[in-house]
Amino acid sequence: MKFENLNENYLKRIFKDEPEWFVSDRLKSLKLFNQAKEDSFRYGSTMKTDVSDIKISDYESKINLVLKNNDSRIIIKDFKKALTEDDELIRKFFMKEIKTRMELLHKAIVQEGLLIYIPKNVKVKEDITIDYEFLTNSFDYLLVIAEENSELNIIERLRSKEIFRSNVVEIYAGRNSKVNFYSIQDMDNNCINFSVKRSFAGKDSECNFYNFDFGSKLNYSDTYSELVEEGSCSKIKGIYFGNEKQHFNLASSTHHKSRNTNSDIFTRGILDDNSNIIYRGLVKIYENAENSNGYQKEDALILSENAKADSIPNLEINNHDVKCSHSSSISHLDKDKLFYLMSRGIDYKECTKIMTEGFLMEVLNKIDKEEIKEEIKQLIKSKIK
Amino acid sequence: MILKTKNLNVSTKDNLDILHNINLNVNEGEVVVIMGPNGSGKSTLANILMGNPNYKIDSGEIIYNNEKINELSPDERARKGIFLSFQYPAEISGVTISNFLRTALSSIKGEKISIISFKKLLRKKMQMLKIDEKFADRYLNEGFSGGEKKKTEILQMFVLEPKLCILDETDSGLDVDSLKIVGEGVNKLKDGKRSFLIITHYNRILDYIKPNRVYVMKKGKVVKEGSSKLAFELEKKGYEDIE
Repeated sequence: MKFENLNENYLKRIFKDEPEWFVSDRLKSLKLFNQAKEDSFRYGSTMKTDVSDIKISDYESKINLVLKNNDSRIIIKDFKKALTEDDELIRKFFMKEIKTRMELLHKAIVQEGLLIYIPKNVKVKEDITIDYEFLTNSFDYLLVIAEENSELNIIERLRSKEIFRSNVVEIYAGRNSKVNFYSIQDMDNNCINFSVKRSFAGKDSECNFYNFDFGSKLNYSDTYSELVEEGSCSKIKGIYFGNEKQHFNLASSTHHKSRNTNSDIFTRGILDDNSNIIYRGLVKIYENAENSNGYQKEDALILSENAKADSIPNLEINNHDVKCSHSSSISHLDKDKLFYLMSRGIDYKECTKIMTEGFLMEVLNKIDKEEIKEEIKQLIKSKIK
Repeated sequence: MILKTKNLNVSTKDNLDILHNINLNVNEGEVVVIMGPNGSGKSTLANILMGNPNYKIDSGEIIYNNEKINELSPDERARKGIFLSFQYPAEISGVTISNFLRTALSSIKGEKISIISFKKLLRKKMQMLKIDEKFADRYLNEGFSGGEKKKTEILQMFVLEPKLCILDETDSGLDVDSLKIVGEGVNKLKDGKRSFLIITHYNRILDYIKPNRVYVMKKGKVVKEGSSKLAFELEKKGYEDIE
């Protein structure tokens, strides 16, 4: 991965109206970025995400963003505006943990973004929807802060031209709050998309991710869920569908840092044509997280000769008073099932659709929002040839 | 003549010969029974008639309604009116019986069928077969008992109304009540034009269905042809003496 034209002067010029403390943070991050070793996208001896062809020289973002929110109790602000008006929140929550060189870069040049703040006891009935259309390369950010006893659903839809995108989402779920985050990624099949989503769950809170990945030629998505305090729980449900030459690198991890915490990871995906995936799952139980449950399951269905799936399920258990399990499967279309369906007069193409949809149904059934279910079904249908 | 096989020789994909020179006729409106011990090739015959790609025709012909259908895909055969009730129906996860059968019926009729009118039709057919209406929303065969699967096969036959119904050991694994429902179900579908090819290991189902003709298969060959009397003789004597 090559990033050209990046230097202090460039950053100072494009971020000249921002508060000094933030620009100085950017510059620090840029310095660390320049010193850091390239991120490794190798896993074991055979699996890797090839980033060698990526060369970026444009950094100024332009996004068509359509936001829908009908609840005046929620505060939604442009990230730039929040930098001056809510600098305490930004200082406290914005990208406190950085794990990769890519994230250092993101911190240095993040531009478009939103802060969503749900005050205490506010339970939002209607979903907040954010529709993104990326017109240029993008480094975008979303910060969600859900205070005590609050509840909300956020749905983001991602569409784009042929661009490079880096994205970070951070969700802080306060005590007894509940946040559902739905991400429907249907970007152009020539995009490069790097997305990191993190959640931090407070006492008795619930924070769930529903990831639907369809687009991009290279789609790297890391969903990290931290169960910070006692009684918190998290689900990460995912559906992906790759075709043409798409490469997906998807990671889902849950980190149990307190007792009585629960997590459930469940991903199913389809691979057609020459597409391939590296899927990494992790449930990590810390020493003090007794009486916790962590599950993960990932299944891939392969529709073509040349598609490929690699799955790396991991458990790291440091407390033995817990229940954990993992399973993973990679399968092809079952010929006997196909014959059975075809014998009822339905042609091959339609049968493939039926079986593909059926395969993903188990994950779709975990979504209680009918309209999202329908939207995803349509996206699945449109991808089956 | 609705179905005719001429000197049909069939083997598996890995070249294991199974059927040898099968010649059989099913006329319009007839009920024809094929009997024979395990491993005689009865199920292979049912599968090759439906076009199962696990088997191949080495020589001979399958003629359906005066057309050679050797090369037709299973869905094309179904659209021409052939139906196979499977001995071991596949379990299809995530696909409800209702949605699946509506898609199938639309394909066969070549026209879209509205959800409402289809539900009405399905409910009617389910009542005829004494199948609980809740089954319509269950996933096709998933977690069904053997008997439930067989009844679901017959339900599909009722909905799709084929011209030639091939029943591959639909009677095995059924309790007496279910057997009665299936047997009576077949009789209800008899309309003088629809034909049936019933493959069975036992002749229990013949308590309900009177065949026009019986073929006996053994070791991949048709070894005997006779009237319905033959079936009852077989019950007494078994297959041992027939060569």
